[in-house]
Amino acid sequence: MDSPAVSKTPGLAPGGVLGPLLAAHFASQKLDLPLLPTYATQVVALCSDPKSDARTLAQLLQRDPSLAAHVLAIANSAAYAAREPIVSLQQAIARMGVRTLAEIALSVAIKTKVFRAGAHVDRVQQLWKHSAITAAWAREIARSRRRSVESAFLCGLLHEVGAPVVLQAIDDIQRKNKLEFSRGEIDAAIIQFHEELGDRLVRGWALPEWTRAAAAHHHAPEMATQFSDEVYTTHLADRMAHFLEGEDDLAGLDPILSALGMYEEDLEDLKAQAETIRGLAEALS
Amino acid sequence: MIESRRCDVAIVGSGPGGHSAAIEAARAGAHTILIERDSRVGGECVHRGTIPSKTLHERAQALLRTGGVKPGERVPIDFLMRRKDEVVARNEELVASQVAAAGAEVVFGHARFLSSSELEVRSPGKPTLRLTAKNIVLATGSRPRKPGDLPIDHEHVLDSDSVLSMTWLPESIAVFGGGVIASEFASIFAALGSRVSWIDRSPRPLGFLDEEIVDTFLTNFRAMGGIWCGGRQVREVRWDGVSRVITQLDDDTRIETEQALVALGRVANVERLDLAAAGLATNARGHLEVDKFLCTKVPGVYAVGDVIGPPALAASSMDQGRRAIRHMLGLGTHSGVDATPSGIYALPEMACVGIDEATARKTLGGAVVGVANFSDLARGRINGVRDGKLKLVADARGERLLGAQIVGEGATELIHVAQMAMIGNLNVDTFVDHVFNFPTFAEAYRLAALEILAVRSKSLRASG
Repeated sequence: MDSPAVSKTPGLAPGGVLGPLLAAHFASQKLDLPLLPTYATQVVALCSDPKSDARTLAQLLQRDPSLAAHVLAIANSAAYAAREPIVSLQQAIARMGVRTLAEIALSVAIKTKVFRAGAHVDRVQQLWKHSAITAAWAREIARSRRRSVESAFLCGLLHEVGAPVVLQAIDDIQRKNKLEFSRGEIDAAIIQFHEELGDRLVRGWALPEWTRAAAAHHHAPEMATQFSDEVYTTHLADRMAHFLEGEDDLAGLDPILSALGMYEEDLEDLKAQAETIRGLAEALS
Repeated sequence: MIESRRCDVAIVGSGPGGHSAAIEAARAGAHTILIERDSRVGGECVHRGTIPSKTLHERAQALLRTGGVKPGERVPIDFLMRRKDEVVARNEELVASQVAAAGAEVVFGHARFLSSSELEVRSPGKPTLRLTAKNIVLATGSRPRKPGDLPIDHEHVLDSDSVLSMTWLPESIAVFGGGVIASEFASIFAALGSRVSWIDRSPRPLGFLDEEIVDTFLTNFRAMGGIWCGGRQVREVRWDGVSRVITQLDDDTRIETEQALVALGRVANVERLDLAAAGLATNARGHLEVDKFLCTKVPGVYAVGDVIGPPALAASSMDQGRRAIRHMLGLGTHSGVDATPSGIYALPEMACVGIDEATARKTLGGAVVGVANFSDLARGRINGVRDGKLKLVADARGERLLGAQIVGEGATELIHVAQMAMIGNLNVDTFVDHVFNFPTFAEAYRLAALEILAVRSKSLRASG
């Protein structure tokens, strides 16, 4: 079962004019991944304060998908001339230092488009919270399987990164054409475009290949031809996040558990960490 | 829903011990079922142990051959990992095809004992299988030990499994442990350009190996910038919450690294097997005890590989798997000469077979030893090998070969010459009376043997 925002099964067709308008928009426009106003404000406040705690900034970077994606893209850009690909937030912190990353984050917060429409802000807020919870579950799934948790965490954090791009584009189209779209039309548009756009954005920004696989295939992990371990982990983490949000009963997980070499008792061990993850969700509310 | 089946041999675990047992049993005509808990065959060896770490070793060695990592250069480890994934996938296919070609059936699921001859096999979404077998082989392997006082989180503090899925190369890393796995990763990371602090409570690593061999290895490790902190106790390991793992030693040394790796032994995978239902239990070290034929105390139940404890090497597990089946089916076994080699895929490699000088002197009352340095070999000079040596250990008369120890490039291949000589019961003179290709590292055998012959001649002259 998927998030209401990105559900594949509500029976909504991308009818009307929105689908073609979005297709035309994405064909001609650079993809925008805006920041949430609340996060942008926090980043500016934290980064401008010389007394701010490095740990707090490191934590902020790891809970906001948009900020994380922007920072990784800039860390890999020619301007910073990294001597190796920067593929994780922890690596970025280790290599560049928290202060340099704070400068990057501040520049991102100032220059990047901020979501304006109130309804969409709520929606993106919800998506980002879901992404942070998915990342937390992905980290625990990887940990339980004795895999390095960093790639799993980043895949979870960025797996829905295409959805706010769609919402931003809808907002732009609404303003430009003075149109209003129903919730159903918007849901259908997100379903139609978010995986493809997530893939495009992650690729265009030269983010790690495994995050691209997770963004492109997290609803259908069997379609992944590479990084299937990361994609299956993201899928299970996404389902666990919806489970925590009361939107998924975790039925039909057998093929996913099989692919990950996990058993029912492993899933039960994971579920036992629900309260810890719930604490994280509450902190994000 | 429960499905009931019968077979001659059920083997639990498809690692080196399990799959070699399955192939041996099926080839001998036994109806064989190989049960694997994971979704792929091959076990830890293929997926998280021997094969992936050796692939990393080869890539690091290739870097060293071309002059090593230049100052300031960073090695993108995702490239190394991708190569590792390809090799792992190919080896998985290889194991699956060998098992299938032999005629053994693979069942994926988790097995537990119902009695000494019955297993229950569960798999998500599939009917439960109740399997009755005339004989059962346990080859469930092992996993990294998790010491309670070290905060392994697989993020900043890794174990020997999670280290193989790391996506970036740490600039600095602390390695805990003095055994084979620790020595392999410590030297590989040093070769890749990481600043390695290698910490263990023992004053020297690899305590079971000849000291001269270990000294040469440590000299190389230090030459790559590695720091050996032997004879120290770890007081505390913690993540600073930002970018450093802080290690505090008992002598107040504080070490800051980007990551840490814990390689402090392995534990047998015996949980959830319901051993008691078969009348089995583990010993104090958590291993299953077996006799020389790999039989447990329960008739018809065998155990092979890491689950029975040391040497816990892929090669010895394969040998055990084959021997267990041959005993079970009443087939002959090999000569009984204990000539299973051990290979340590560190940089440089180390390998040994038979006994070392200290053991020979202690248990047999004497030994004659010959040593050849790789730098004295034409091939060594061509390859630019600075350190590396081969040590031959003969009996007190300087005739019978008792063992060999090697450190240096190609050691894990080179050791097989000594292994075959021991199996063939050849004496040391053979290495002098016959020739190897020239120039090769195998020439070291001739040089070492010449030293032994020189000692022997001297002794004979002295005795009149």
